[in-house]
Amino acid sequence: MEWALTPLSAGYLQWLETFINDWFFVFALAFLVFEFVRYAIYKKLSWTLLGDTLTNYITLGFFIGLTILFLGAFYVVSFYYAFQFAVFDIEINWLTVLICIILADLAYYWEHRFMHRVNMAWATHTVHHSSPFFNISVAYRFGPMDSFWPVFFHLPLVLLGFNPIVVLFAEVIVQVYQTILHTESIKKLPRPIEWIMNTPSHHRVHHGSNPKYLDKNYGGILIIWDRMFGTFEEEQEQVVYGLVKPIESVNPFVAFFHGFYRVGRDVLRMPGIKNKIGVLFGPPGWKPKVDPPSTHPAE
Amino acid sequence: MPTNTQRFFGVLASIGITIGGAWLASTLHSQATHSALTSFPNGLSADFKNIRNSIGNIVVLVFSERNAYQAYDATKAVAYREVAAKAGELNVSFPDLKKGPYAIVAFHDEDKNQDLNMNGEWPTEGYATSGAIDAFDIPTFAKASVTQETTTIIMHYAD
Repeated sequence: MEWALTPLSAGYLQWLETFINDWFFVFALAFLVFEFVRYAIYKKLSWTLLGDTLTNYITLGFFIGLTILFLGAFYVVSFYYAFQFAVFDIEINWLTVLICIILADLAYYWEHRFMHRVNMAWATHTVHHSSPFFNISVAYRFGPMDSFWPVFFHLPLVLLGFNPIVVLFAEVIVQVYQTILHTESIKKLPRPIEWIMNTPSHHRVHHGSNPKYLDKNYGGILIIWDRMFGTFEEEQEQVVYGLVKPIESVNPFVAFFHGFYRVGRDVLRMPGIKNKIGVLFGPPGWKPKVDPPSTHPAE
Repeated sequence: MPTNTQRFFGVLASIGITIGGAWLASTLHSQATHSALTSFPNGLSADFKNIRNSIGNIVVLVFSERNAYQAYDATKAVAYREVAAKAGELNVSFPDLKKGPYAIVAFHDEDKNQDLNMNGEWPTEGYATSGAIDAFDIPTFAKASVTQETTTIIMHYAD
């Protein structure tokens, strides 16, 4: 066990993070080729599929651009600012990194649930769910503010004493694990794995617009969080991918901005300041409670 | 749809798991924290290892102060020495340096220009810092502070 407690440098972890992220991207491209062969065998190839796949990578480009220009700096500054006030002194070694990954996975669960249940965050996350397909390229389909909301959910880890670089590393591990779940080619894994871990089957449910699959399976690496917190659903009926109200477009601009357009429109149309706030902070489809009909007879 | 009770206990349990996990992580140390053992009656001495050739000099700087170390300010170093390089191992000693803390920084000045040559962000000559765990490590002054009379320092080459 000595290796698990050997100190690691933050610089090494940063190098490893970039290494994993970059090589995984290459692997994902190769996997996409395999998925297209599979689509061809099942005679599911179409221009819409091709356009949608390209759009996934274009939104990734937009997302990276925005992150480099604005959100990345916000991330780094808030993490390093918070790190000064760290509660615990946590050494960097494989054991503490492992703990950080598990805690980051829990933070991811809540961040993800928040992004689904609060409209102003759903405005960005809806982009990821707007593809009617489910393959590894969809994992790279990002919205404009997808690197903004996670900051708040992972900041507590920095405040508790995990080095910002360790937290970022843990976030990348969760993200990379999530990426590989975006496939229809893996049906179900052995029971114990399906019980503890998030799997392609569980994540297909998460991407379903079937009423019983809505707002389910938010987990990153572990599915036990969903089982614990009452948001788990097993894959049974055929999954219908995409949004309840589909965008019906492969235009990357439509895909990237439709969430903000929809939420903005709903806020504008909603009468009354209180109700406007309700739309912003409420879940998708939020409506004000209608007053019960008056019991007095009409005059 | 989770009930409000489930939501409440879910959040509560998550906070508990997070704080407990961080506390557990804080107890997992490789060794007791560096106690400041900084007295060297016979002077400070460094064994450099992994020197790739005998070309040029090994330039060694010793800092006794955090800010000077962080800024790599050679004018504020308490000792500066250039020693002819020797492939493999080389000992450099400072008999006058008896009271630390001391952090040692060195580089393999192959072209004798008294500067660490860089190609963008990558050093093209060997570099070394006391207390560094690996080639990527930039230890804080506390971690770089030498705790033994003779300390072993690995020379790293990035190219």
